[in-house]
Amino acid sequence: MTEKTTVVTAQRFAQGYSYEEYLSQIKVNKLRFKQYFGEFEPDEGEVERFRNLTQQSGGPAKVLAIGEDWCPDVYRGLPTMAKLADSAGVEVRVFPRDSNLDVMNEFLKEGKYQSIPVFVFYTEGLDYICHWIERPEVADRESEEIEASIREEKPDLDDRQFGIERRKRVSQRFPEWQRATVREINEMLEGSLRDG
Amino acid sequence: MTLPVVYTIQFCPACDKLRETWDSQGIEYVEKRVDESQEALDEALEYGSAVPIIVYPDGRIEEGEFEGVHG
Repeated sequence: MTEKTTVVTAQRFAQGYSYEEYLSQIKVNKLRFKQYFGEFEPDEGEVERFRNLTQQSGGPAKVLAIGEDWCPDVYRGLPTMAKLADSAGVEVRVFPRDSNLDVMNEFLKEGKYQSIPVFVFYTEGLDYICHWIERPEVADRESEEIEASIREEKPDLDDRQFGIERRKRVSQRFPEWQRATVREINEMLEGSLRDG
Repeated sequence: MTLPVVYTIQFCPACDKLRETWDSQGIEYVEKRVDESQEALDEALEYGSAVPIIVYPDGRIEEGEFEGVHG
């Protein structure tokens, strides 16, 4: 049997930025990253659930995050992950996608899309557990619902006015999508740890 | 003459396809890199959230893909 190889060695993992280092070198959206970290209030029950997972044998102790600063899913999702990790003493290392395509290519969405953010969970010994990609399911569903309701309520908007209205309504859902991200991560980790 | 405005990032298959196609066809456009400029990014977010975002002079907007290639 051939063992699957990975470019994510202990040495490579250590080369990623800490969350603070990542923020210090990004070119855009620094304020948004800070906003979605500072204002995010995860459900206490979900935080406790995550902490419990980290304390299990073979539970998550390290997270490899892939992102780019210009991406809305990243400036919402990465602060979410960073805050959750902080709450449990989990180490996060951030890798900009475009300068780490070999890492990115191990975690493509549907095997072909370089969707971000990606959060890859590892044990203390850097054994892979599972990974989460891009955005919670509720974000896709609600985005479609928001677009449909704008078209119904304001059919005369031009494309730009539509975009501004969509942006406004979608942004209002970000705090809930942050909480949904944590729930999905916990569910995914529980499933992976249960199934071994 | 008003030109189409295209919001792009450096590494993006659809952005590459758009540049290659329009450049070869001699189509003029204004490119704004959202990974280089907060101003361009904030502007782009008023139109969409997936690059490339193409804003045509008549106000039409396309986002997220170009000729079947995804951003």
